[in-house]
Formats: sequence, C-alpha cells, structure tokens
Amino acid sequence: MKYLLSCLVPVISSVSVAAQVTLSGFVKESTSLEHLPGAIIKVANADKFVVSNEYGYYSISLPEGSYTFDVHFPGYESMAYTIQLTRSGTYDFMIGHKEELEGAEIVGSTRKADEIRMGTHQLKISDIKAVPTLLGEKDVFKVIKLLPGVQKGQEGSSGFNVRGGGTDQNLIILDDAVVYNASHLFGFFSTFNGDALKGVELIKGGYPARYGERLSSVLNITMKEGNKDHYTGEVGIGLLSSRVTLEGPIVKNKASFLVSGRRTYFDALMQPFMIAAENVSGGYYFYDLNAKVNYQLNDRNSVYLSGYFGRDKFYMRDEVFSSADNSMRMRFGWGNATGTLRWNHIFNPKLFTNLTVNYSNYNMAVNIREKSNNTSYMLNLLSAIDDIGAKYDLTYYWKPSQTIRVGYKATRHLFRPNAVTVQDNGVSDTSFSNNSSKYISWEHNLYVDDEWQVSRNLAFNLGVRGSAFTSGKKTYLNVEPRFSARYLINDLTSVKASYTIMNQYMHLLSSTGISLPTDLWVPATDLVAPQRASQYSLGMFRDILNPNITIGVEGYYKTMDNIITYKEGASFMELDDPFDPDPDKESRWEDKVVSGMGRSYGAELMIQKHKGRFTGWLSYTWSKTQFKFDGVNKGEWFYPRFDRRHDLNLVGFYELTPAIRLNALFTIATGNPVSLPQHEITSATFLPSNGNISKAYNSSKVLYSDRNDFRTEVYHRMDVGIQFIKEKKRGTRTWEISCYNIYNRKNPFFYTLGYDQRSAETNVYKYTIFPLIPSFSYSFKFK
Amino acid sequence: MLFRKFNYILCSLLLPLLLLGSCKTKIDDPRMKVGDDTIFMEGFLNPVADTITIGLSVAKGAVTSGNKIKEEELLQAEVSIESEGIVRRLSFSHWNNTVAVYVLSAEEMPVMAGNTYTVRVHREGVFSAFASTTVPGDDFDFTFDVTGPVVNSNSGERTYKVNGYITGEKDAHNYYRLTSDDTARGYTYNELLLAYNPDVPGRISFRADVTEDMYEMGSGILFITHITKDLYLYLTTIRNLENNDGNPFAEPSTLYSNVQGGLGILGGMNTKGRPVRP
Repeated sequence: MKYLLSCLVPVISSVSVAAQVTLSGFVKESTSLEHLPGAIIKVANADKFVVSNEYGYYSISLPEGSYTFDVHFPGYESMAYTIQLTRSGTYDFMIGHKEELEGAEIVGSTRKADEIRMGTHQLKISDIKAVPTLLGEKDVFKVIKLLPGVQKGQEGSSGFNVRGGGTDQNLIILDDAVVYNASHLFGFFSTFNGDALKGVELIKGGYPARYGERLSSVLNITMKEGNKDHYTGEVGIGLLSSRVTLEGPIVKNKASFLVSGRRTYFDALMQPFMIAAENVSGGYYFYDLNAKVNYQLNDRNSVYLSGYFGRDKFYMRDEVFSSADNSMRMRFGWGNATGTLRWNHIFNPKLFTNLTVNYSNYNMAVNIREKSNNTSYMLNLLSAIDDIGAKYDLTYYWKPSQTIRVGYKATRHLFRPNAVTVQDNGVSDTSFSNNSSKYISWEHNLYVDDEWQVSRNLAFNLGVRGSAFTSGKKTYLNVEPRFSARYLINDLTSVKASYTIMNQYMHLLSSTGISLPTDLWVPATDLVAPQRASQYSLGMFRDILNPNITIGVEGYYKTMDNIITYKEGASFMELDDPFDPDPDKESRWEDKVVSGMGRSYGAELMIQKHKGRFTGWLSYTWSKTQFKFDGVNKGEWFYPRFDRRHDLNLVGFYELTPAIRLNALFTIATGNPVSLPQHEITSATFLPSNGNISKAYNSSKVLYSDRNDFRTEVYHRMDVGIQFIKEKKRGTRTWEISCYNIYNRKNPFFYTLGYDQRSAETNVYKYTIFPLIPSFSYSFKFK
Repeated sequence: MLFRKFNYILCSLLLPLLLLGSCKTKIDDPRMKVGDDTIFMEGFLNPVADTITIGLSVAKGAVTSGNKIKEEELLQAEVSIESEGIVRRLSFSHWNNTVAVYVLSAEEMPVMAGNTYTVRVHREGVFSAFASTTVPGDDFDFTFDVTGPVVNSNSGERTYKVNGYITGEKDAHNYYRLTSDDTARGYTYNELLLAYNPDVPGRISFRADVTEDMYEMGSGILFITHITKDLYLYLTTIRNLENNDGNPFAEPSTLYSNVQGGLGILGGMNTKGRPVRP
C-alpha cells in the first residue's frame, strides 16, 4: 500500500526561465532532528542523485521545475518529496522509522546498483541491536563479521580481518577520532555501545580519496548528536553489563546533548567466589562512556564536541603469604580516550566545509609488585599512543553531475611501544630501568576527490591522496591513486570496478600464539618501512524491486608489502638477549621483526532482503590469503591464522507480530590454519668447543610443524533470539531472550597435545570455550 | 543483601555454563596425525678433535600414524662417513642419555679444512638419511682484552669482562661461535653466535664474561670456532627453541636441518683457543 507525502516548497520565482537553481539542506531524522550522513536523495524524474555528506548535508543543482525527491537511509523508511523549484533555496528532508510515519509514503529501498562506490556496507543500528549475541551484549564487530569479505578470526574474538588484512589494517574512526584498540574483555567484545551510535559504515575496497591511513578497511562510526526536540533516554540490563543513555535539547531545535555509559558487573558477581577462595582476591571489569554536545549557531554554522572514554581493568592480589614481608599485587589495564571538536560552515549552498580537531589516546599498562623476604620487585610495562590532529575538508557541489572534495589532515603521533621499568631493591639495594624510546612522528594527508556522473549510465569516482610521514630522520612520501567506476546496464543492474593504493605508516606487533591487548603499536621508522597495498576489485549488482532484494557479487585481488611480523623465536617479553654479543646495546623492537609481503584474493556474494516481515541477508566469501617473510617458515608462503577458504553467513529477522520479533543467524566456515607440535627431539646443549658430543649434555625440545600447516575443524554455530516489545505509557519496553550456539557445537578454541596413559599414545585435543549459552536482557526506551 | 542474593543466583546460573563450555575433546581426525617418528642426527666435524662423533636419536612424532622407530634400532644402524672417495664406517660407542653415539678415530678419516664430508645413516626399512658439510678454514684470528673484576650487584659474584674481535676474511659467509671452557671443572660457558654484520664493516666484535676463579686460576680458555652457515642457522634455531620453551609470548620457531631423510645437522667447524689469565 502506498501513500504519498508531498511537500511544496513555497519559493517565488523571479528569475529567468530554465536557469539552474540549487537546493541544499540537511537530511534529518523526523523526531530527534538528528542529521543523517550517507542518505541518498534521488531525483526521480531527472535521473540524478546526491548523497548527504558525513554531516547530513546535501546540495543539488537542477533546472527550474517540479521534482520528486526520494530520500533513502538504511534502517529508515524511504520518503518521497515533491518540490517545485523556482529559485535556489534550502530544504531539510525529514525521514523516520516506520512506526513514526504511519500514513506516509514508503518508496523503494536504497538502490545498490545506482551507487558509485563498491565494497561498502552501511549497517543499520536496529540490525546490530537485533542480531543475537554472546551473553546478549550487542556488538558492532560481531555483526561486521557476518558481512562478506570479513574474516571471523578466532572463536569469540572481537577483532576482524578484511580481505586478507591484519586487524591493525582497519581504520576504526569514531567521530573522526581513531580508536586503536576497539575491544573489551581480552577481545571478546567491542568498545562501541550501540545505544550511542547513529551510523556504521564499513569500506573494504574502492576507497574514496578522503579515506586512507590503513590498508584493508575503514570502519566509520558516527555517534548520535542527541535529541534536539525533547528529553529521552534508554536503559538496558543484561547478564554481563548494564547501560544507560540520556539525550535531549539544551536549546530546543538548536543544541542538544547525549551521554551514554556502560559498565560490567562481572567483578561484583565474582566477589563472593573470590571471598570463598580466601587466598586470592581479584576481578575484572570494563566500562565506557560516550558523550556529545552540538550547537547550531545559525543556518551556516554548527559545532560539535564529542568524546569517548573506555577502560578495561584486571586486578589480582595474592593474599596467601600476605604479610609485611610477603605480598603480590597485579594490575593490568587498557583503554581508549578520544575527543573531537568539529565546526561545520556553509560558505554558500554549493560549498560545505568542516574543520576538525581531534585527540586520541590508547594506553595499555601492566603493574606487578612483589615483596618477598626483604626484596621487592616491581615491573611496569607500558604501551601507549597519543594522537593529536586537525583536518579541514571542503565539499564543493560544482555541477549537478560533479562533486569535488578537497581536504588536508595533519596528525602528530606519539608512540611509546614498550616502556619497561624493573626495580629490584635487593640485598645490594640497587635498581635499574630500561625505558625504550618514544617515537614522535608527523603524518600529513592531502586529497582531491571527484564524484563525476558522466552520463545516465556511467559514473566515476576519481581521486588522489598524497601522504607524508616523518619519523626520526626519515620522511616517507607516497601518492595513492583512487579509481572507481560504475556502469548501469539497465535501471536495476550495474557493473562496478575499482583500483586503489593505500599506505599505512604504523604496524601492530602481535604475538602469533596469544592474542592480548599486549600487542604493540609501532610507527614506520628508518629501519621499518610503511605498509603498502594495492587492490583491484570488480563487481556486479542487481536490485530486485519485488520483493525488495539486492544482490551483489564482488571479486578482489590485493597485494600487501612491508607487512611485519616477529622473527622466529622472538618475544616482546624478551628484555635482554643473554646471547647478544653486545649486551650493552639498547634493545630495539626493529631487531625482533622482519618485513614481508602478503597476497589475498577472493569472491564475495551478498543477497539482502530489505523490506517485509522477513528481512536479513546471506553472505558468502571464498578467499585465499598468504604471507611470506624472510626467515619465517623457511621463507615459504604460509596462511595467516585468520585465513578461511569458505565463509557462509545467514542472518534473518522475522516480525511474528508487531510485539514479537524472531532473530537468528547461522554461520559456517572453513577452520583456521594452526601450527601443531610435530616432533620431540633430543639434542646437544652446551656443545663442547671441539664438537665432540660423546659426553655432551642433552636436552629435549619440541618442534612445531611448518607455520599454520594444519586446519582446525569446520566452524559453525547457530544463534537465536526472541524479542518481546511492548509500548508503555512512557516508552517502549523490550525483553530479549537469546541463545548463543543453540545446538552446542564444540568449536575449537585451541588445540594441544596430550599423552593418553591408557593407549600409551599422544593425541590431539581441542578446547572449546563457548557452548550453548542462554541469556536475557531488558531494555526500556523512553519516548 | 538483596543485591548479594541476586549475585549468587546469577553466578550459579552463569558459572556452570562457562565451566561446561571449557571442555577438552580428543580429535581423531586423520589429518591431525601430525608427525611420524624420524631419525635425528647430530655431528660436528672439527680438525682439532681426535674423534669423529655422530649422535643418533629418535625424533618422536607427536601424533603418529603408526610409523615408529624403536631405540634398539639405532644400534643396528649403518653409519658411514665419506670424503674424497674414501668411505669409513663408524662404530657404536655408548649411549649418552637417549642418544646413540657412533665414533671414528680422526686418524682413520682426517678432518681437514676445505674438504667435504658426507655422513650416511641407514637401517633397512626403518630410516635412511644423509648430510654433507665442508669444513671451514682456520684463516682467522682473534684478540681480546680482559678488564675487571666487576661485582654483580645482585649476586655479589665477581666476574672479568672479555672484549675482543675477530680478524680474518670478512664477508657474508663468515660465521663464528664463541665459547669459554673452564678446564678445571670441565664446563663450557658463554655460547655466542657471531656473524659478519655488513652494517658494522671491519671486524666482528664480541663480549663475554669469565668467572673470577677461572681467570685468577688460569683455567679459562676462550675458543672462537669458525662454523658453517648451516651450523650457524641450526644453532640459532636450537637456541630459540631452548630460550622460548614454555613462553606463550614467543614466536614459534622451526628447526633448521641439513639432514636429508631426517632431522638434525652435520656441521663443519674449526676452532682456535686462547687462555684467559692474568
């Protein structure tokens, strides 16, 4: 059933016939007046469209006349506006959720075939909140991993790998500030609280020139601005954490705020058991806080101030020998803090500018103190990054067919990759410290980007990005061409292609065997060059109007250079090498790593149903990723841990009644490659100088297979959830019952060898950590 | 009180689930039969040694598909060494722990710098392996200074510092091993592996410690051994395996081997020693 919402802009014509006029303004949510970035405005009877920018602003020039504008935004019902254009003017399009638009026209969904860009997914916050998850904790990353081209990583982990890239190769930005470690609980949950988010966009390829700094993806997360119309809020209580969000106007329709917080109570829950244990006290918790204020100064100027602060803390105290002479305490914490100040200025309807100043901090610290028999030891391990930067972006809506974007960004990075202090106040009452270097570096990025609709069928996105990185005495300069093209075969089918080069001036040093926040961020230096990738992709997209389905098939080929890994046998915990011929030489991380190359190629399929009582998607990825480093795996190519040949995901949401929604997902994928112990040898230790092994002391050693030479079992599981929604006097109440891994599949977490006494044989054993886990949560969203 | 009761209820619900989940299951997948037994051989040919010694042991497969080597079959192995067309057979001497040591007097097969040697080990139907090496020359020299004693602030131990460098042909193919022997106690200390560093041309320098006793009693001897590249790589990987045993943060290390049909090393070496004394 269709309705039509028609709006007539009362503009009075006083200009010449057939002149071009410009319509500009913002796309806003109808109730909260939130600006909506990435909304598509199609001019139905002129075969043109424009996309609202990061701040929800749009501008389009057309000959005078009457036009119908179809406005689309993921998660919202698309709207049609008919406007009589007689002179340039402004108009803010309002769109809202289905329930907010009873009686309004619902037009066709977003047309995937029309969009110029490929390799891009815009996630609906409502989908993120509906997908059933572990312990009911709604998680952006868990949903991202259900998209094609995104590898799962390890069971339960929150990090994600895109098109063969490492977890460090994803640029995660929250309101323009980089978030370096976006995970809680040792990687099981992401740091983003869905209640505070407005939009999530993942770009895997065909990057516009305004994005860079990482090789494999851009995850652009936008926080809500806060309701400008009335005070509202949302509370949620789950098994692991509780959350609360408040928002409302500061000055009605001009200024608003949003505050959202979340904290786990695992430490409080565990306390009785800790007390029962008597010997050890300890706990773990995480929290995060999002806040944002914005103020629309006038029609042409708006300012936004937003921030994020989150931390994880693990603490333990051994009280077995606790006394004046004997004690042990350990604290392990990590977290991010970001802050962004933005100023939007509209010079004229065709020129939109934004100035951003941002700060980002990531900090991981371990503090261990032990006192034993008059001797005290203290270990401090610190890894931190401080970024402070500014950028200026200009969007010029030059012609109806061309939008030019230009921008410049400068960032000062301060890396402290491994500052260790060890104190030993022993018998001789001495102390020493080993403070490794601080790295201060500057990164500059300059870009030009042209979105060019050549004809009805043919459109390009052409751009170039120049980057410079200065670290120590070395300056790296690079040029990154960007190219995307779309050809419409017919109204509903298109072919797209893209070519991009990306540079990344920082690396993440990760241990192969263990994944902890102890991974170290390090910059490109004189000795370690920046990472570089080039990616080709080709795709075909088809929209089916009835039922409303989009189908996308994409293939890609990506090469990566100067990626780094630890050398065989190296460890970030290794402070001094006892075999170093020059032990007084300062230990450098560069000496422990080796540079190499990677290649990845694959094909991706995405079938998505947008409308109706049943919505959801099917995604399938076939991919192959290999790395090669001198001195690692004998210099041969090997599969990284996250490589999976096949990966299939089915996600479905079914509205049984307006008050009951069923949600389910099924995922199945090839197992991860792993290294396993292969042999145990006995070899000479302390070999005599003349090589005679007659009386040499022998010791046994375990030899592993070639790097990641074995595959774990196939990974699969199904999660289901049911939501009971009820409209109350003051808002909407939702009860959710969900079940993770409903058929209790024992997916491997890690493998180990064990000796079986009965059969007198060594066997391979797998450990599973997440069986069937039911959970429930309660949330209430105020009107 | 109410909150505490609520905690207990939730924990009693959650913990069993999490504990149940952390389960261990045996894998019978034949693709996980990751390694059969194979022969492990170690031998180091040095002109200064009066005996050629070759050690044989079993590299035990972690999870075998049934192919195993019994230790007694090591005693029945045919072990031979060949150079310049001359072949000599080694004989079993003794067990050193689980290693079967085969020996041959250097008079029967002199080990000479520049010569290539091949060692073969064979047991019909069980294992067959071989390795070759060329013994490096003794065209190098070294010099050092001794300073000290230095008192270790933690242990109170007094040590002497040895600083020196190796002279001789310097290119990418030069690899050395430094050891210091305490002749009074029969111990070997200070294994350092040294390689020519193109970033520091001119000399290969080294630093080592000797104990106060060794130095003052004159029982310390500093040895510099010119070794083959194969041996350098083998000793490096062995060192990695020893250092990182049980360290979950350490990167996995593979063993360098030049033994065809098995695992291990046949290395060539040439040693010079100097006493370290006042």
